Amino acid sequence: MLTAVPREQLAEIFDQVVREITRQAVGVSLCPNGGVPEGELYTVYIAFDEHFGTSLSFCAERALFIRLAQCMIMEEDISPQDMEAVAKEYLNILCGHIAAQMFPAGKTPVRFSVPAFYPGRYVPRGHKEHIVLTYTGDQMEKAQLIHCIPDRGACGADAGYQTEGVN
Amino acid sequence: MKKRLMVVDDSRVMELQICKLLENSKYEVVAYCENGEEAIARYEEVQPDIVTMDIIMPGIDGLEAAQVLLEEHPEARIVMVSSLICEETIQDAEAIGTKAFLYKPVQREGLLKALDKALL
Repeated sequence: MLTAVPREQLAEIFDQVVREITRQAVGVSLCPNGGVPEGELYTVYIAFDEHFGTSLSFCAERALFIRLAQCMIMEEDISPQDMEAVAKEYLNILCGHIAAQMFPAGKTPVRFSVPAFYPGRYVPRGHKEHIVLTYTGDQMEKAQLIHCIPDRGACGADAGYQTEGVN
Repeated sequence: MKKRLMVVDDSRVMELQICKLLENSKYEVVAYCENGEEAIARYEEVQPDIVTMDIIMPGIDGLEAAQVLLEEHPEARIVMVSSLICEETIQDAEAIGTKAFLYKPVQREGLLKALDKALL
């Protein structure tokens, strides 16, 4: 029930977790307030609390996903399958840590879905962007962490859409 | 002789990562299972020294799988691995009889420490 937590507090938790865990897991530093990701983009996506329909996506340039994979599985050659698998595991870890922090903050345990991976910048249809945090990696790769909530004004279909950057 | 590990995780990334982290150690990964059901089915055949078990997996979760494994094989040494750091979950894992709890992202030092603890 992530929307029960004030937006600023939620953004602070997301930012702290994404930077700390990325540094711990793969040794990559993400600096906040970078430019918008461009070029060949991918998004890894997890839905929180199905009933409430909030979600978290990590959208980044391909170069960052490749580097995450290289660091995480300690291999130089990364297949598209490796890139996808690492991206999913990475977001899973982020969400685990976010959920752990949300438990005391929201007084409610947070559960989340199996991650999905999409080309482009994915936002689930019928949702609006609630929090968008933008980062630049230490090799100038751009990324965004996007928290979405249901858009009550939109007619909702479950399928999402890609907005840009499909190769 | 190296100690034999069975890795149970719905993400193959964890197996690849654990294999790399255990290079030049006294441990080796001998089996990978992508869910709890597979771990329960293969334990007898693999006879690992230690099982590393993810918690959130499709199908039965890691805690349930660990409980079944320990009912069927009380000698099993299980290390729970999760990114969901929650006191209640850690207590549940201890109550079941698992040997250690390891947080993701997994790092070499923490992994070796948890595996050594499981062997005590």
